[in-house]
Amino acid sequence: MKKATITLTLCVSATLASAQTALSPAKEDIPEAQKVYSPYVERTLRDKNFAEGLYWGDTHLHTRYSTDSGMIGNKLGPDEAYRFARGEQVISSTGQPAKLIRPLDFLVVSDHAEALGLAPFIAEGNPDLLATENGKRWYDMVNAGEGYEAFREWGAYMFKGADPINSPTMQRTVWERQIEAADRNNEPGVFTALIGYEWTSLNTEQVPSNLHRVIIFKDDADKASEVIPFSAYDSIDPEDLWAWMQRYEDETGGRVLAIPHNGNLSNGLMFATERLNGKPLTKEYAETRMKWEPLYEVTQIKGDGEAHPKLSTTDEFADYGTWDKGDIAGVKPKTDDMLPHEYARSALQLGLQQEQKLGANPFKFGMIGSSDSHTALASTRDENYWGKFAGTEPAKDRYEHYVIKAFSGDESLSTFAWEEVASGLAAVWARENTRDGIFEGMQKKETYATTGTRITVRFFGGWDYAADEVYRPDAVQIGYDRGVPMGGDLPAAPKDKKAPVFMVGALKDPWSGNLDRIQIVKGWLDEKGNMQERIYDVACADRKITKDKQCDGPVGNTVDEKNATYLNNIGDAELRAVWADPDFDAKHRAVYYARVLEIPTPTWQAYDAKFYGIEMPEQVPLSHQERAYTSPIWYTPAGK
Amino acid sequence: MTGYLREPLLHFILIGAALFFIYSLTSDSTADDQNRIVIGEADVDRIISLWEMKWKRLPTETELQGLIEAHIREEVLYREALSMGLDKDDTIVRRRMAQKVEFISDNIAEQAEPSDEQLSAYLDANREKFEIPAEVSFRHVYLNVDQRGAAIEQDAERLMNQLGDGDGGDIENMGDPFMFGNRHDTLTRAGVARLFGSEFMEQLFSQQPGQWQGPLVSGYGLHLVHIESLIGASQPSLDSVRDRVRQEWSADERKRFNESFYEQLRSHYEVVIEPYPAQQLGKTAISVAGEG
Repeated sequence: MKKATITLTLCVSATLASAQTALSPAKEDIPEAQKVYSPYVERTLRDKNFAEGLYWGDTHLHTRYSTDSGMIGNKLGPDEAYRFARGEQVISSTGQPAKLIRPLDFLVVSDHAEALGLAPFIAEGNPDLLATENGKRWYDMVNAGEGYEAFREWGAYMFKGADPINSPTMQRTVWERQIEAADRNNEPGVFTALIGYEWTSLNTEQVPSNLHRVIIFKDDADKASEVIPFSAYDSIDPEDLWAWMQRYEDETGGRVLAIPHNGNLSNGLMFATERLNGKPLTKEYAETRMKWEPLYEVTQIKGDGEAHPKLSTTDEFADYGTWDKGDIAGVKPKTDDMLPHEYARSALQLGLQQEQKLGANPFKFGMIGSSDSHTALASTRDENYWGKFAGTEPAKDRYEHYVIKAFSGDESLSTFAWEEVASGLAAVWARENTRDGIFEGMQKKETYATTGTRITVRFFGGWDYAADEVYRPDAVQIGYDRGVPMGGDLPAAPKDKKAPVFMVGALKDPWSGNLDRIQIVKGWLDEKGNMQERIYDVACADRKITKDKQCDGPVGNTVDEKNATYLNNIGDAELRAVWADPDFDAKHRAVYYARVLEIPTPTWQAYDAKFYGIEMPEQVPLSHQERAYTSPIWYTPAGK
Repeated sequence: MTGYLREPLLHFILIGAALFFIYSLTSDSTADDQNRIVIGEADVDRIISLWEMKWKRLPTETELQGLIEAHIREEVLYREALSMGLDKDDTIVRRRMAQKVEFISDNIAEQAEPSDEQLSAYLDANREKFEIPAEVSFRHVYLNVDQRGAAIEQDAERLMNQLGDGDGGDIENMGDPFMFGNRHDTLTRAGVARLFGSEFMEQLFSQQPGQWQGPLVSGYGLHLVHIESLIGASQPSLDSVRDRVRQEWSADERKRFNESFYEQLRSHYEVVIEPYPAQQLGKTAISVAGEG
């Protein structure tokens, strides 16, 4: 096994460290490196558990094993999904060749637990499936050419709280296939295939929501095969899911975590301040939730969930991929009071409020993005967008197809393909590209989200980073030594320090737009315990920062929408900054994360219009700014 | 001779004959025995071993009685079903029978054990699949075009002169800071492309090791590079990749065998597709109720 190691700047080699210049680290700043005689020994920071590798993946991908994928046209299974993710060319369900711009480093095939494997089992005429009443019925319907109707019948069961198949033998067989495929495609050091699945709770028809979670295992098949997935048929309440996760760990000694997604379609339940059973949140609830759910999937095809324009009225970038018509099934419309409980930025502030009240923060999550594609193709770039479902793979008219056909029949709650965002990706800083490495990075929240491109971002918080230190070759080492990386808690303030200092750096995706700016988003509680937020621009390409802490004007726009092209003659390849919070009050809880914006580039809809020679309707966005959201760093006043 | 042995249809006929022969030995049924069910020792053994496979222990006497009863029940119902002709026109039965033939074909294909010659030939024919990828170790000095603007090429030249023929010494403080550092060890082509883009990768792999060269262009700006080692792609020995080659060979072979097997079977049939009226094919709009 060969491992490609990216040796970061912070690995100051013994031979090079002797040279001292103005920007070289002073000797006392650097902890004594362990002495190794051979100069050729690979120098890593593994001993110190620093993350030196940046790995890109999709933690949320469906194949034909998911009923809402396989029953409506997806012909590709887990093996094809892995091959595509590893950079191989595959033939899509609609017969078109598809290939990624470059391979991913890891993938979680996360098929729905509910009737897992229904489509392939129908295709195989599986006897266990045919032994069940609904299985036989849907099998006959598919063979009679009524596959879509069979799928709708299955969909209706999602609100009935009962397993329409209920065949443990079938579940076992199909789960074993899934985990074997993951093990077969897992190549430590090169490509990580994590075992996973999706728990798909929509709550109830009276209070429709989206409480979905992707469950990810750190373990190999030997442990994962000791269970079969806990599904929404077992319970619609995430607290029961967490209890099941606890049992899994107790019984097998394995490790597992869950990542919720699409709060934007949860109708106020994703970050609700009461439990699903109607009781108030408790300290125990907060601790349990954070034990199992260190991360939140903040951006994906079905909308971007970082911020909402009605909650962040002065944030000119908040209205990005906004999906706010109703719940995921289009049953009940959205009301404004639901919004704070749906978006990451407000949820982080709600978390501070709850912590003040309960003594534990129930919403102290890190961030990742993923696709949630149902085509088995984890592609998140606008010029290579393979759609949400097999039925909306590249085609002239795909933009006008339904994604959510309102269950209620109220067309104002339906959503169309043109509203989709070609998003997102999960970035994990980790020691190594293995199941252990990626899983640990996730648990430490040393992760961030992008809307589909690979912007590199480092983000550290501490109390004494000097302004020029971010430009030093050992900046990352300094970041770790004197503070915490993204996902961490600020250490207690030294007596002489008045405000926390953040060190942030971003490098563009070499195959995408230059960078526009780096922002730090701060959320805090004021004197009265009310939620507050403010955005500070901390690094601006080609412009100065005004005294209002904003970039002096927009970066510009080079997009030729008609031809779906842009020029990289504005913006910067790299931005760095050291920023001390000018409005810090040591008495109040606060949370900080970085948002990095690219210059405007064409959207997938613009590429479609150009490729197929069509005009998009006026409301369709043709250019946008790709972005990255880091996991936050939290500040808690001493003694609280 | 070997070609003759690899003839799929011949295998099939031989296996069919063998199955028929075994069946005629074990089931001594004649017309008189049509209403007679004999549970022989072999049947009981099979029932027990099936149970054991599932439950990881032997059945008790009571459990065995129950199993035998269940077996008899299935046999009775099966024979009745046959005599009523229920096996005809049933999609599941048809598909299951067809599958059984496919299994036989699969089994024959799996029997094939490749010789070293076959594996070597396969390895040669699929070089790119098994090759040990090229690897490069290099250092670079980065020049940020946003910070240097029009002066960047002049700066590159000046830095090149400074670097000269030496190994560069303290390059960490030359040029502009680069987030992934100045030193990259044992990266494959994909590894370089992943960090710097494929244009840079192509340029890098065409440079000579041992001297400062450039500037090369990437999505980030300019880079002066010093390749420390460049190991070209190489072919592995058969021994070092035997398992993988064998797996791939078997998969290919099975596919080839199954296809030619089906083709041969099909060639024995005259297939007539009668003209059918042109139908309007449905266009299914994708809609998803409560999923995602």
